[in-house]
Amino acid sequence: MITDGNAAVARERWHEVYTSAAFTALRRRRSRVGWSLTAVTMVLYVGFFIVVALAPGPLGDRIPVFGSVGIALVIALFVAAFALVWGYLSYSSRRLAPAQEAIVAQIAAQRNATAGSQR
Amino acid sequence: MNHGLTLGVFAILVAAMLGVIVWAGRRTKTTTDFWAAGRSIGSAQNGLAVAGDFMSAGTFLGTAGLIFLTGFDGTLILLAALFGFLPLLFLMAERLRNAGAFTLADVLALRFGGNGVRSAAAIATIVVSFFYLFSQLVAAGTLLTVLSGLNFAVAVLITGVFMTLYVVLGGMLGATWVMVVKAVMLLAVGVVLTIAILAHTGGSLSELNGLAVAHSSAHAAFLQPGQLLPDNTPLTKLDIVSYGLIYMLGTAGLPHVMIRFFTVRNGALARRSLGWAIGVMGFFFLVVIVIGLGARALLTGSVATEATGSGGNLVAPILARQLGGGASTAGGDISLAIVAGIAFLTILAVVSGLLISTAGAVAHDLWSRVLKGGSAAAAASEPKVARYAAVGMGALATVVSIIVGSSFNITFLLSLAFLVAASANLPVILLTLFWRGFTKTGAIAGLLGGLAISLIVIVLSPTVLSSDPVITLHYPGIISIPAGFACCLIGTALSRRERGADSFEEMSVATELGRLELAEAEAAVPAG
Repeated sequence: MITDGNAAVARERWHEVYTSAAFTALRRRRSRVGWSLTAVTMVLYVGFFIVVALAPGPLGDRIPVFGSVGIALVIALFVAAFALVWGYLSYSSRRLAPAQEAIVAQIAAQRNATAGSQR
Repeated sequence: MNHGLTLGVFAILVAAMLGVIVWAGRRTKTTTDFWAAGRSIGSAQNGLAVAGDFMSAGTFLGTAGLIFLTGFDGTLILLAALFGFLPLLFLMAERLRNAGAFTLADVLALRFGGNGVRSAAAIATIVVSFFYLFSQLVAAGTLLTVLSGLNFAVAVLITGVFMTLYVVLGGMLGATWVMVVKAVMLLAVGVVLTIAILAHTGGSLSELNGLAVAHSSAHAAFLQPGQLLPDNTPLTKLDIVSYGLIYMLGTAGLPHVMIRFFTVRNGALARRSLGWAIGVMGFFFLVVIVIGLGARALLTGSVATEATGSGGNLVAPILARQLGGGASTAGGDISLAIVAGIAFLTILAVVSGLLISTAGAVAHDLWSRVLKGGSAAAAASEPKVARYAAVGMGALATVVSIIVGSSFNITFLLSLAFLVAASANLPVILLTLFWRGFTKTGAIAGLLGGLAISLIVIVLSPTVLSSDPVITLHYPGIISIPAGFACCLIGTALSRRERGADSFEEMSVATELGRLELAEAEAAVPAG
């Protein structure tokens, strides 16, 4: 927590950061990406369990290498999980992290300026 | 089995780890050191540590055995564990780390303040971690009894004593490094076993699956659903989906996994460490599938009966013995001893992490914050109190495990831990992070309500009432998870005047930007 000795002033500062355009954009973007990928994850995962529950027969069809369609689908879901994770990590470090660092740097610069003018 | 050799390998591994612990202990001085390894862990190491929690005796021994016994159905639990980490990465890991917390309760207190929500979160953490710990200790005792010939009480006592020693001496730093070292060893063993299995089938997976199907009593049905979770009625179909939900969402809400995000330097490292964890776990889980199918393909006759007889839990060591040359050969005995030793080390590493999570809720949340009001004196003595709490909780878990013994229903304990994690912890953490209108009363109602409902549904299910269950679902998560969210909503609806009274904006800025990074930016101001 930013220690200021004055809770009301600190709260005002948080509010200022929270309502700033850059922060709002970062928060919304990160949340949109996170929830979208979570939705894809849940659809794939729950969808697969529904198939397991409703159509176990076709999952048992024998195929080479994997043994059965079911095992092949389990492996495919592993691959899908890796792809989703890779997508999130690369988007995060390309887009979100720089935006986050810029906001923190700007806050530091502002504080410096305020401290300078008070001196 | 050559018990002397197995015990010798156990002794060497445990002593080597004690060396790691003593090293870590010299570096553990402050409260942050003890609970969060001084926030010094790198992303690859933390990734291995997170993965290590799930590359447990449960997966290496339990799941390999489950696949050996039930084929396709055994692989579903691996899918659940892996997929549980995705929402954790997409929605929670960075934000939790950015909050700069030691425990889950810290994160909730950052927004809501006060002792009510902290106590409720601590109780939910203790229930999940303690029941999980308890089930692991009973499993360790059972396993060690078979592998080493020790009696159950002695086996649990040894595990409990080393677990407590590791935590008290090494804190989170020691527990993390033990986890990293054993994760690497387990990966190596898994890869060696996989290569040895594939060598027997001429490198052909088709051949491997063909042999597995031929040697299974279920024949062609071995690689299709139905061996573990039969689907005779509409209700059992629902049970299958519910099974998937409990283990996935429960994984996403386990406090002893979440505290691992607190050990890295910043949110970016938390994110990357989860990338590592998912990669390593995914790879290991594929290895486990090959080991399980390989055991079914290669173990035949009396050896297959021996593997089935252990409830499937000794499939991996028995397979290692066969691949090493067979029973009563030097190669076979050594292979079995090494695999068994690393399996024991795995249990020790996992229970140590669980003990830290439990002790954290007791010493940091309940003692330091709630009882002592977060005073400076309490903060100063926290590293000492943390060790007392670890000894206390470690001793309690060990004694309880010995008293209830191997006859206790471990499924009940583990199901309860995952149900509470999915139905109480997860809804409250998500709504705290993302819903501005959520209130303190809603959070407390969600934690305690989710906890109570989990307990009720499991007691009414066939897991406890085996002959005449009130709820016929074996996996009642599909009831308790929505009910947990409903408790949060009802609590919030009943406390509308609290709305906006909490520090949502402060928490939001801290979890998006990093509380410690902001404090650094602040500190850059020259003293005026």
